[in-house]
Parts: sequence; structure tokens; C-alpha cells
Amino acid sequence: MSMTLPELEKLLNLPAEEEQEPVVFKLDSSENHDTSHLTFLSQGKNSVVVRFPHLDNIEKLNEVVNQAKQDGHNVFLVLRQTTDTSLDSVYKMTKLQKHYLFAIENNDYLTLPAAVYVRGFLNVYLNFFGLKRNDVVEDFMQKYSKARYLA
Amino acid sequence: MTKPILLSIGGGKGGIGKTLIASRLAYSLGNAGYRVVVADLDFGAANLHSWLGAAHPKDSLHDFLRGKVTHLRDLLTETSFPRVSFLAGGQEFWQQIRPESLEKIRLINAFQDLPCDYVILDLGAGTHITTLDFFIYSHKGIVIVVPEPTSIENAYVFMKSIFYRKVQTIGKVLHQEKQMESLLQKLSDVNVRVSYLQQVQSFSRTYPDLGHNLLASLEATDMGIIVNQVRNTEDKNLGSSMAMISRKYFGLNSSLMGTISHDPQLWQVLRQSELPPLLATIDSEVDALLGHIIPQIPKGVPSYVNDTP
Repeated sequence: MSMTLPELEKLLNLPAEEEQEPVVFKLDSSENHDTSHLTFLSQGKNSVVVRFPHLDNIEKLNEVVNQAKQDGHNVFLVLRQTTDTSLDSVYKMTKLQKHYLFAIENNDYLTLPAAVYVRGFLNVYLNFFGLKRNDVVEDFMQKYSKARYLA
Repeated sequence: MTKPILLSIGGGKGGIGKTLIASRLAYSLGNAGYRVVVADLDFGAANLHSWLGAAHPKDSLHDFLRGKVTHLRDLLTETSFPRVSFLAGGQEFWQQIRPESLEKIRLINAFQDLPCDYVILDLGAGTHITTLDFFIYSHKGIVIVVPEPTSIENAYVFMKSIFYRKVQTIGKVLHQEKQMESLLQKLSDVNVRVSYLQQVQSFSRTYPDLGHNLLASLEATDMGIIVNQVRNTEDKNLGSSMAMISRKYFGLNSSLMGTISHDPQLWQVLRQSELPPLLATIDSEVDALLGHIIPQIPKGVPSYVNDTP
């Protein structure tokens, strides 16, 4: 009997979350942002449309990540809570399955798929916030492989 | 002397292995050197003593609640398992055993004064207020669920009841029952199709202090989920999905503790064996649970460390 989150929600007849429009930001290419690591939806002559809605706050978000790392909190959960983003909108833009997003945020290593996929997920998730943080990914992967090894 | 850690085991549905897991945990913790007391709080349907292979003792927790016995430690019954003793539940008519909140608090306090490292509370099926209160007042609550729609539904309702009872209790403790009443009414309204957590969040915008306390206390819940009677690998994701549900809809902090495989021989062992059921199950599939579940239990200091001269 398979019971993923969507199946369970259906069985229990739980209220569906409200639909949210994906946020699309236009970025003027003359601005001095390092956008090389971002995933672009489309690129025009003078502007690019990026998936990433928090561009003005990159430095602030980096600080948030450092603080979360220091406090031993889950970086991804903290990022999402500080930016007040719903799991749904992350899912809509990144197309990462919600139960994987949830597992990442809750250090549920056993639910996650093989390491190669997870590494990609983490980068995409950080990318959603406009961040590229190899240290965060490596930290997570270390804990991941440890948990998988023990289990 | 440090106070014991209270672990409660519930799950809404009957026959999903609550008593088996409670007694197995007690056995394993006892083997690891801890002194363990298992308390049978399944009032009216107490059968823990049979699992442990003991006759039903004359005095039970009922006598403590009625004031016939003053000290809980006088009720402790030794078992044949090392360092494990138990408190029998009443087999009287359950209608007579409806502890008032004061008596419940007295019992919880008495649990904390027991000379042991762990008290495991074996709760009954259903979502009776008494059951919920013991679950809420313990350090870690464990919800057992089996991969069947009926059990999943009951486990969900159990979590929902825990959530509701917590909201109710916090209103009482902070003497803000009036403000809380509006929230409780909205929560129990079936026509409101907004998730419970979202309702609490919008409530906390109106009453920031109370809402903050409420969300913090929901977050402070330490709930573990064990999936019992797992038959195939697909069944295993039920546990993490349940954990997500409780977090997403109720804001209760919960995690999957582990899964236990279904043992097709167990019923035969239980029927044929003349040994106490617990002893008969020791070499069964249930053993697989110990590897990963035991380390997730909050740690105490094993008693034998203190006992050695």
C-alpha cells in the first residue's frame, strides 16, 4: 500500500492548498548582479526573466544561511520561512516534488532518493533563492550519507 | 536522583501493536541497563500484565486514583524481565475510572517520582480526553500506525485531537479561554476548508502573544511515528507522509522513528506458546525495530552506572 503525501491527503480528504501564481521577476541586464548560476526562464535583448524572486536580498539571505548553519538549524527551512514562501510556490518553480522538499527541510534522509539526485535537488532549491552555496550542499550530503550508511 | 523520562504510546486504533511495542521497548531498555516502569493506562481494557506474563495484581492504578494507595511505588509489580516492573491498569468498569484533571496531574507527578529511568505509558485506543492528556504530558509521544486505511484515519484523528486538546489546554493554562474559544469554534467548524495550522496562524495575527505561545507549544511537541506491520517497501513511506501531515496541518513537530515488518508467524506463536507473549515475540521480526528505534529515544543515564559502588 503506497502512501505518499498526495495520496494520503486524498485518502484523508484534506483541504487542498490555495493556488498561487508563480512570481516572475524581470531583471535589467545592466545591473551588476552575478547571475551566472541562476536558471533563466527566458532571455530577451535587454532583460532576462529569472525564476528567482529574491534577487535584491542575496547578501541578506547569505547571512541568514550563515546564521542558520551556526545555530544548527535546517538552512532550507529557515530560508523558506524568512522569505515567507510556501512549499507550493517552490514546487511550482523548481518542479521538485513536495515530499522531497519536505524531506530536505526536515532532515528526513531516508525518504530522499540516491545521492546524485539529492545533490541536484539541493542546488536547485538554493538556486530558487538565488544562492549558490557549496558548503551547505556538502554539509547536507555528509549527514545524508552518514544516515544512509547507518540505516 | 534525576526524574524519569515519560514515553507514551498511542495511535487511535486498537490492535495495532501498542502494548506489544510498549512491552518490547521496556524489555530492550531494561536490557540496556535502565530501570523501566510500564504503566497500563488502557483503562477498562487493561491487558499489559498478560503480555508480561503476570497475574492481574489486586491493586491497580485505579486504587491510586481513588486514594486507596498513597504511594505509586507500592503498586509496582516486578516482572521476570530484568529491571522491568509495571503498574497494572484497572479492569473495573471504565465508567468508574474517569480521572478529573487534578487526579491526572497527581498521577503524572507521581510517575515522575518513581525510582526509575523510563516510564512507558501504554495508552488505550480512541481519543478519550484522558488518553490525550497523558500523551501531551509525556516527554515523547509515539504514534503507532499500520498501513491500512482504517488505522491511517484513526491516527490522523488522533493527531487532530492532540492538536485540539493542546490548543484547549494552552488557553486554560494562560487564562485566555475567551480568546481561545473563537479559535476553537472555528477549528471545529466542518465548513471551514482552511487547514488547521493556517487558522492558528491567522489567529496569531489578531492575538500575537497568545498565538506565538500557541505555535511555540505546538512546535515543542516531540511526536514519533512507528509504522507497524509493514509488508512491503511501499508501505514504508506512510510514516514520513504521516509526519508531514502532522507538521503541515497541525504544526506538531514529528518524525518517523522507524518501521516494523509484519511477522506472519506471530499469531501462531502467540496461540501456541505457554510463555508470556512478550517472551514469545522476542526472536520475531519485532526485533528488527530495536536497531533504529531505540537510539531515537531521549537518553537517560543507565541506573547501573549509579548503582555500582
